[in-house]
Amino acid sequence: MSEYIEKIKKIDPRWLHIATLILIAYPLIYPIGWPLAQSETTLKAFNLIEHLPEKSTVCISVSMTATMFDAQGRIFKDWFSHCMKKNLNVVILSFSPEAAGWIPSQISQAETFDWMQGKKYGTDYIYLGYVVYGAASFSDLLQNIRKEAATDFFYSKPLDDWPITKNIRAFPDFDAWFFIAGSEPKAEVAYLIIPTKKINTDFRALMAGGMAEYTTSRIYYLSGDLDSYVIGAPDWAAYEQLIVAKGVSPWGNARGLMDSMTNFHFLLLTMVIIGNVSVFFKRNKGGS
Amino acid sequence: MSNILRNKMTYQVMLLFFSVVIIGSYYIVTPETQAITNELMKWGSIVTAILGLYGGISALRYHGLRAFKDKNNEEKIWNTYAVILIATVTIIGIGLGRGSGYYQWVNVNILTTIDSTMYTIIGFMLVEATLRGLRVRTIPAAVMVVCVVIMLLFQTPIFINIFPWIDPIGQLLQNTIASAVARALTIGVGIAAFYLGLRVLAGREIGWLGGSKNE
Repeated sequence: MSEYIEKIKKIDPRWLHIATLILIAYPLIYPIGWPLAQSETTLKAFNLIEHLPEKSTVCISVSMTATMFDAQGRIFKDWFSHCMKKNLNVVILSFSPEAAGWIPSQISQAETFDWMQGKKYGTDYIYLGYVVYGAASFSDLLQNIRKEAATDFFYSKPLDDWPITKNIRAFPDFDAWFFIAGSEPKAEVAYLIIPTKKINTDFRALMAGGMAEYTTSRIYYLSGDLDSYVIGAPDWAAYEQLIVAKGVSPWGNARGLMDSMTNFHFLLLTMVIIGNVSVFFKRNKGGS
Repeated sequence: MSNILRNKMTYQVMLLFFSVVIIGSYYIVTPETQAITNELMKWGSIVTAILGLYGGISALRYHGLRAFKDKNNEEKIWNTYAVILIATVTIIGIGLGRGSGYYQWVNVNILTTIDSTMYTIIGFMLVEATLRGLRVRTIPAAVMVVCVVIMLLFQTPIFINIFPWIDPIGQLLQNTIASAVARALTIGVGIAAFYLGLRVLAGREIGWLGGSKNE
C-alpha cells in the first residue's frame, strides 16, 4: 500500500495538471448539477431585490479587474437579469477602467435574452461608463452625479436627456445600490453608503465579491451598513438558482462555476488525504 | 527659488499643513472645511493621475532602451522588452477613442482571457502544493490541515448536505475566528499607520522624500 502511495506522491506534475483541467473544464461544458446551499445572506439579497417596487431606480456598479470578469462577472449578469425581470430601472457604473471596457460587450449580450424584450436603453437601463474609484469621486457622486458622469457612455448624451436619469441628481436619489467590489468595501461604506443612508433612510446596499472580501463585509453587514452580500462562488450559484426558479433565463452560469469548484475541492481533498497517508506510512516504517 | 524647491523642509512643511487641514476636517465639520478637503482630495487624484502618466512614460522609455540598445547584452531578452513595448503602444493607441470597438475587442478577447489564465494557473499549482506540502508533521501543521479540510468541506454544499455538522463548525471558523483575527490585523495595521503618520509629521521619517539625508 505504502509503495502505491509513494508512487502517487512522486507522480509527474503534468498528470495532476491534466486531471485538474478535466475536472474543472468538464462541468463548464456539461453541467453536473451538484447540490447548492442557500445562505441566509443570499436569501436576504434575493428577497431585497424581489421586494423593491417596480420602476425603482437602482445602481449597479462594478469595481473588479479583468482577472475576475469570468468569475465575479457572473453575479453582475445575474443581478442585471434579475433587475430587468423585476422591471427595475438600472443605472450601470464602472469604478474600474478594465470593467469599463467589458460592460458594453455584456450589455450587447444581454440584449439577446427574453427578459430584455421591450426594454429600452435610456428608459429601463443606461450605462454611464467609467468613474474614478475613490473618496473624491464618491464625494462628488453623493452631491451631484453629473460632476463625475455628465453623459452616458454609448451616445454621450447629457443625463438630463435620458428619462431614466432625468430625476437622479445625487446618489441618495437611488433606491438601492448593488456593487461588485474589487477589494474590501471600506471606501464604499464610508463615503457612499453611510452618508446616503443618512439622507435616504430607505436606501439599500448589496455587495458581491470574492472570499477575500468576506470578513470585512461580514462586519459591515452586522453593523447594518450593508443590507446583505453575495460572496464567493457558492453564494453566486445559490443566487442564480433562486432567480432561475423565478423564471429568469440564466445568463451568468454561476452554477456551472460551482460545479467546477466542487470538483476542484474534491481533488484538493484527495490530495490532502494522499499526502497525509504517505506521511502516516512513513512514520510507521520509522521514517521522519 | 530653486533652493526652496530643493530643500526637504519645504515638503515637510507642506505635508504638515495639508495633513492638519484634512485630519482637522474630520473634527471641525463645517461646509467650508468639507469643501477644502474635497478640493484637496481632487488635487490628490489629479496628482496621482499625472504620476501614472509619468510612470507610463518612464516604463516606455525603459523598455524602449532595453529593446533597441541592449540587443547584444548577455541577458538575450531584448525581444521580451520589444513585445512589452509594442503591446503597450498598441493598447494606448487603440484605447484613446472612448468606447472604441477595437479597444473593447482587445479588452474582452485578449486582456480578460490572459488575465483569467494567469489567475487560473494558481489552481494548478495549488493541487501540486497540496499533495506535496500540506502534511501533518507538527501540531500547528495539524491544526492548519484540519482547518483547511473543514473550510474545503464547508465551501462545498454537497458536503454540507452529507455532513450537516460541518456547517456550524465552518460558520464558527469563518464568522468568529477568522473575523477576530482579521479585526486584530486591521487594528494592528491601524496602530502602525498612526505611529508611522506621527513619525512622518514629526519629521522623523523622511524616506518618502527620497535622496540622501543631506540633499
